[in-house]
Amino acid sequence: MTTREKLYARTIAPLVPSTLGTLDGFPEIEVRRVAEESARYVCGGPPEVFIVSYGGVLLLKLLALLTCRKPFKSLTLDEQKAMLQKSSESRFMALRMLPILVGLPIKTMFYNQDDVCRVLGYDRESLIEDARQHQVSIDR
Amino acid sequence: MGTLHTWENLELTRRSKPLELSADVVIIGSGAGGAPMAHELASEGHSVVVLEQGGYFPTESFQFDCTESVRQLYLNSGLTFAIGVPTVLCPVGKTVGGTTTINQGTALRIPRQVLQEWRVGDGLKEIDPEEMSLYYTAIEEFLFVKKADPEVAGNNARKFLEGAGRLGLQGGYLPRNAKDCEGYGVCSFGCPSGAKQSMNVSYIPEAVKKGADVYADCKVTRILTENGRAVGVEGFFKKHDTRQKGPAVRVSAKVVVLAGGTIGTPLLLLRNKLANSSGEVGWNYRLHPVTQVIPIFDERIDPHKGISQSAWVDEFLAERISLETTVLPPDMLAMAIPAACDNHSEVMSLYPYTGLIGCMLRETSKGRIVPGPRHGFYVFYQINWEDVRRMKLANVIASEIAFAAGAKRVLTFMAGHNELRSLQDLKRLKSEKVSSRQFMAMSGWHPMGTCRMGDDPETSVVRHTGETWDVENLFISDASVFPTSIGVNPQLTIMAFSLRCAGFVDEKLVGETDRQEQTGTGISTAIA
Repeated sequence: MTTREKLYARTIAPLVPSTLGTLDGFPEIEVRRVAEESARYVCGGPPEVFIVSYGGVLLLKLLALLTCRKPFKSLTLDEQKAMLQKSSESRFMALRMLPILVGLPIKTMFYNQDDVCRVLGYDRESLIEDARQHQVSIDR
Repeated sequence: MGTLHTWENLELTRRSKPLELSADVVIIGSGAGGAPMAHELASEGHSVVVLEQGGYFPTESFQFDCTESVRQLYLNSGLTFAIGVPTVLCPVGKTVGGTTTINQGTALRIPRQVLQEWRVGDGLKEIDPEEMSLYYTAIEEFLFVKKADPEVAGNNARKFLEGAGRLGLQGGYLPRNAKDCEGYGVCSFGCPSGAKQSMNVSYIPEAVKKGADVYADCKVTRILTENGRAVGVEGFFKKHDTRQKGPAVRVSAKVVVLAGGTIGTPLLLLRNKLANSSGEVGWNYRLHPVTQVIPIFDERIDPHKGISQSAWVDEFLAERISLETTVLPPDMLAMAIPAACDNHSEVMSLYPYTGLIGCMLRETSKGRIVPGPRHGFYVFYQINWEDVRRMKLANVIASEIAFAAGAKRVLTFMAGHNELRSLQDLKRLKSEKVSSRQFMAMSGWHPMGTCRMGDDPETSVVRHTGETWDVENLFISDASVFPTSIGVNPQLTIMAFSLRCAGFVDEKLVGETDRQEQTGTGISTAIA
């Protein structure tokens, strides 16, 4: 991992469980893996995306300090979720979009895992096998 | 027989010496604008070099890992955004085959009314609908275009058409460029069976058979001109995954064709300060804004089982609205849902019971592309009030269809109306004014219009032939030449214009050969 990826992963990791919400019946969240994969994804895009996304994470943490008078990390999971939920329902567009923007890579990377997909009926391995048996080749 | 050159087979890791190439025509881009032209010109016996900045991926490399596909096959890892309110996600392909490798495979012709608008309003009277029809027919035959098979279209499409039928709306299964499609639902992430006839499995390999040389991982930075004529291009190799920089490349050619797409083509012209006497390069950007509604049913839909995009309602095309079904695998749906925490996880846990309807506009809004630092760029796009009003209407219609199909809840991406549980909620949405700030997620998959075609060099960049007004022998063959948005998925129209443009390039090449024979000069002497 690059320095930038490590920095992003470390900063976003505390947000992973609350962003994903209550997950009944799903495998346990591998916070570190999700954070690292999110970092790899965001840092692979244009620099502006990294700046906006990283800035968004810092802003959310600042929001926790301002509204809950505690660092985000010190809030209980329910308090974290309540804060993110409240922000996402704000009348102000910037506040409304903040947890959604920050959560985008986290959600993508969590639901990209094979065991999570299987819970939703999406079995990647069997799809790969099926596609292998139905290769289309065209001789024009 | 030509060759499809990749980083590996050129052994570029160990090579530092610049590559010097020469051809009749060099085409920048291997997507819907470049590939049919490469095939056509190679078939006519011309020597053709195609330069593609993305990597080459064979069908067997598409393994249902959509997140990885987005990283590998999309420009900026799929994270290209247009700045505005709301910010619009603008995904485009960066791979051999261009965006056709990662599109849904919908293959529609341009609506006749739009072509008429171009002929009358934009002075493009030379574009004959009957002639265009011939190109469309040839492409449809070549790419096996036919309507989606209801057997593999999937439950999302079936429910959508049931709902539309109950409301008496006109629609049906969409025509697609696919053969023996089994409906794996991942068209946008590389077809894993090779059924979708994207350029990487159709026109490009056929062009190679006819003698064209295709170079992947090759980024063009300079257009070479001499005495007001394009005479070649320069660039360098850059490995798509590791971003390792490779040797420089220089191609001398009689004709240069830009087919880098609505983003790539204007950026190249602006950076080279070429073909912009009108000041129109980079302006007039359109993207077909899309928002989605998610119907949730009591019965299992299993949205991933079926073709990604297979049905539509075209009743409202005159009102500039098109509704098309879409399905997404879990990770991509998770990305698309603009909700937080438990609201998000609750919808995701219902994934097997969800559908997805895309609401697409033929917009009147326009944006702009501007070069940024270090080969980067910025896209600016602000949706206007007229399109916001239309987008709300499209969401209302899509939600009505969903309820008519039996949905128990409908999720919209509009703040204040995120969840519709009854027709009463829908009535409230209908009666309320909506602003652009309320749209929490918007995307635009069909960039068009940044080098518009026209009959006046003061207001357009290219002639009806595709040749730029300012630089002789410099042609543009991609959606950037469209004067307006077209209202339907554009790939087939880009290909039709590519074939039309190929005819004019062919004439040019024949003319150039005659000219050189008369003057006794060749392209190599012109460059030297």
